[in-house]
Amino acid sequence: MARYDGLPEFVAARGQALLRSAYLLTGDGHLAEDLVQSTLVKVAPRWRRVAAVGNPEAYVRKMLYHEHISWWRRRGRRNELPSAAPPDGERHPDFADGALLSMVLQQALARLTAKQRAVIVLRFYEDRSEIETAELLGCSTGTVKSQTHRALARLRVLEPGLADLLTDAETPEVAR
Amino acid sequence: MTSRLHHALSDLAEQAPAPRTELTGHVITRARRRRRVRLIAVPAVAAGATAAIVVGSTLVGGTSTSAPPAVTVTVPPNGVFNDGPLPGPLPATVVEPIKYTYADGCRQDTDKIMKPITGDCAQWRLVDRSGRQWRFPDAPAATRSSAGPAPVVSPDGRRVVYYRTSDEHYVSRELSSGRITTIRRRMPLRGRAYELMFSGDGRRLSFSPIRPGGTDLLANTTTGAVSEMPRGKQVIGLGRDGSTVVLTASSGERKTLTLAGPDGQVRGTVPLSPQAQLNGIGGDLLSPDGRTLLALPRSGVRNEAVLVDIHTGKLIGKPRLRLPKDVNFLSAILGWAGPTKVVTRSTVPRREGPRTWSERSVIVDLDTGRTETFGTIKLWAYRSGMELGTFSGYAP
Repeated sequence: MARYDGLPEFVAARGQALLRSAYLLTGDGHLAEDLVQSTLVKVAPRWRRVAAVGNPEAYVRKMLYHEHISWWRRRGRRNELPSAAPPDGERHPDFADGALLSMVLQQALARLTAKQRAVIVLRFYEDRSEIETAELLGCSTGTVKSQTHRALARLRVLEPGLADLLTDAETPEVAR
Repeated sequence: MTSRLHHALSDLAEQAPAPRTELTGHVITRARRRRRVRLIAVPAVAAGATAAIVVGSTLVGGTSTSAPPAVTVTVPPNGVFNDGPLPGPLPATVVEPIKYTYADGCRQDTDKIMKPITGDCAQWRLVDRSGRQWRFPDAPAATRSSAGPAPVVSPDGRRVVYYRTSDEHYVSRELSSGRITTIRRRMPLRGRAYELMFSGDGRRLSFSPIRPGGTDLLANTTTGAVSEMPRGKQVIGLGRDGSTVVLTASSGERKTLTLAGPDGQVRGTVPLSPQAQLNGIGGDLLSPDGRTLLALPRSGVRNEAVLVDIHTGKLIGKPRLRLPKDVNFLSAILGWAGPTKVVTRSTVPRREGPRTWSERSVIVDLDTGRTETFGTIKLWAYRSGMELGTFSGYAP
């Protein structure tokens, strides 16, 4: 067990937070569980070294995002995510209803590329800076900026009803 | 950052499932298994390569009906599921939901070889969402001459139930953990057969005797507990979590709906609208919220359906199931893929030769009429040696 000392405690303390990020990335509860489990299985063999550095969560999250993008590449662009059906454009949903807003947002997120989803989650859910996001995803800050811009633009096209939400989000983005 | 997008994403993230208590255990078990595999992989690969060369050189030029070497394979680009080598056995844990099941007898024709297909070639294959395939050695072989019950996969694709011939019990296997649960009722199949139906979440499974006279059973696939349903009634619908069971007369004219709990206790009986016809379509007909039953109209057109309120027995809608033109006809409704979506199964006309078999699953939105293809399975095989299973992994 010495090889995995501290791993159960880490999972107990941070498992829920990891699952939430994974849920936003995958759009599905089961896939989120699978993603977190697969990531932890890859982290486990090097857990002692990861824990010794002092910030295991940063490493686990980095692995989580890379694993997610890797899954997406393996799956290809088959659009088999459970929420892949676009929202019905002929309807005008009442976004005052929080549950409906969440559903529409989830469906729109599912239509982004894996990297675009990762950028949205890191920048606007985890409140990471562009530099932190670039470091986690292993790309340049310029790529983070362009991916963010494209992701927000695509969300606007996919679901015009989210425009207010996204404009509000992009204001501090531009100001940075 | 305190943008509305942040709040909306936070609200959405709240819907994530709670971490399972056994998560750490699974992680450590899988990590240890990976380590063991790595420690033996290099010498094993070298030995395997040598063996393959030796075996290959002895087979060149000859004909053999024995199974080719077992490897993990995926669906090839041409879409023919069995156009590749024999897949390896199902691993202890599978991450992605299972989407299809089939058996192809390694493309052998039993009418020609004059003997039943046995061994690895007779085993059922499971295919996951990414197209990875495995053999399923635990279930009875799929040979036509001595076929046992086919394995069934839950609508979410995460659980498979199969018959264990050695002790005449059905067994439930959770694919992500490999956990096995034996259904606590011996079910000898001599002269008997059952229709199996899962609840949407895969935690309940009903067994309906095909011959009239028996009693329907409802099993909890996570504990193995079994309860008997009211005598003379057949289960036709289970809610998403199986908390509501809809039954109707197992034989004769079906004029009433009976509602029961998972323990088999009757909660009520309502007269069924005479315009609804409850036979010949199969699958789980009860919507995920446990309120609406999908049925056929009394008179005739196969693609017309009616929706019945199970608490009143009255009609509340008449959706039309318009399928794409390139499928033959609706052969079954498998269940519900969402609050307004049902999953259908249809055969596809054979245009690629007499030995190509194809079935398609189409999801129909009952509100809008929109359709989307859930999946298509295509095999190249002799009819005498193949079986098409069913689609799964559609339930959210």
